[in-house]
Amino acid sequence: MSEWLETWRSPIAQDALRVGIILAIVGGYLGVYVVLKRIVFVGAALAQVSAAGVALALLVGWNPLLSAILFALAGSVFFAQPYGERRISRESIIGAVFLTFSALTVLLASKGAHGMEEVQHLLAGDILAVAPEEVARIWALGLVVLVVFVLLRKEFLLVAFDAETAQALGYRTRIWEFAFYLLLGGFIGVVIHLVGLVLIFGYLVLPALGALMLARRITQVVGIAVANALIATVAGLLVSILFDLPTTATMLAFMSLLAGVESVAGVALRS
Amino acid sequence: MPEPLVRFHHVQLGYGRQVVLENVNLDIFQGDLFGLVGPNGSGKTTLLRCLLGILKPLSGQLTRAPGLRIGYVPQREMLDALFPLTALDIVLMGRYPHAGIFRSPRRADREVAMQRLQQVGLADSAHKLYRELSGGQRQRVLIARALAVEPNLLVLDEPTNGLDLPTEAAILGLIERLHSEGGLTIVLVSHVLNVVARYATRMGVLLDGRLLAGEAEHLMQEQVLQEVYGVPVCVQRLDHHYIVAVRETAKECRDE
Repeated sequence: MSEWLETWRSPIAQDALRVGIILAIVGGYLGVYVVLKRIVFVGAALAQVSAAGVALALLVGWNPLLSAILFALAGSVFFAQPYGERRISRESIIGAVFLTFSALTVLLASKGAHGMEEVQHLLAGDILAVAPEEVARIWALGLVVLVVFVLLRKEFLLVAFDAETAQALGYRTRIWEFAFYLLLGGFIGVVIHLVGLVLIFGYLVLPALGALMLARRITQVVGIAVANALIATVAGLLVSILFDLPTTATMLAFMSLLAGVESVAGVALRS
Repeated sequence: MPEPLVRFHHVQLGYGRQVVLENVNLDIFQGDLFGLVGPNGSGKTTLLRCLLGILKPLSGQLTRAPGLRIGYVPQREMLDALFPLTALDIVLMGRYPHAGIFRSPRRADREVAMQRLQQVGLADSAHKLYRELSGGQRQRVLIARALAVEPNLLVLDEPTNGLDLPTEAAILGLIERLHSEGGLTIVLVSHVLNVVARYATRMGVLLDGRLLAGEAEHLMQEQVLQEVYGVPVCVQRLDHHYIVAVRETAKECRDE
């Protein structure tokens, strides 16, 4: 027990906890809008585009953070474009982007110094491996995304719920859509090379799912989603240290568990 | 002659190189209840988007009266019921431009939103979830939101789609009251000719890329409609309602 406590109190675990807390707050909040806008797989595709940016940076010696952000922003510009009636569905485009950049990530990483190990890191990540100097940077960028999103939440909500009426009210919905994707892509770009694609995708989907099943008001949904993400982060970190389990998978397991319990509770409450 | 709230003058509408409507000439005056009718794909949405300022004309002149505020009621089916929003949350959206960017709606905005819900007969349902309301109640919420804008022009897109007969009559009654008692200028868009003709003071019929506009009584003539739709029709009136039916034989229309 004392060994476990020692590990928990170690700078590595405490830094992971600090990073996890800001990821949970920002990811849980943004995730509500990602799920409501029905763009869950855009989140996954953006994360994959960003991962390709990291793989390229590692290969050619660029700054991985900058490259990840630039790739994510380019992806945001692409996905923010209005999608009218076309011959192929938007889902197909998202799938094609995801697959293309998955292949690109593997190809680029396979030629890098760390080879497939780097691919594994980009996919599964390891929050325990975050360098101490990254913590303050992630908090700073995370807080910027959070504050901007909170300040503009009513406009994002209106554009997501009823873009046509928003346009009739004078809102330039293309700019608002772009701003939303910019925040989402920026957030993904900042954290992808540190914690991996799967964990980010988890934060953007699972906490919001349970919250939407349980709560009846948008403010409650946001509160529960953020709480879900925080609980899963702390519990996942604790349990993974206690039982020597992979941290990302343990956190995701807690997120899934909470989403499942809340879905059942939501159905029971309504019936 | 008063200045119109909106004037289309030789306007051509479309997307890119694709022209949808040509030579649209239309004035909407203060106090009008203008009905826009046409079959699916005739260009109603295109004209509507231009009226709302979402789509720019390819050519011609579109002028709006200074200070024109449009309250828009979209088709209910366009909105995603997944959003956990109450009736009041949605009506408050009509106050967002008043609140301004970075700021939440204030108490005065909430009071206006509640008054609008009361006006449409839904004050008791203010805190109910939109997705748990009936089709007619949802329509009233969207009308209340458009009224919360404090508009001088109310535009409704297919407000009776998918409603049963009594609910349809109630919604149309509400629209007529907003026009006659509230003095609101209204544009009512529908693919159902009878509905528009019953309530509109003036009408526009869209067909084959052109707009035929005029007084409702003049347009609802058998000869005019036959020319517009290209089929022989019967037009009869019953209790202020127009009944329009496609004539199956060349015989004269008669009561049965």
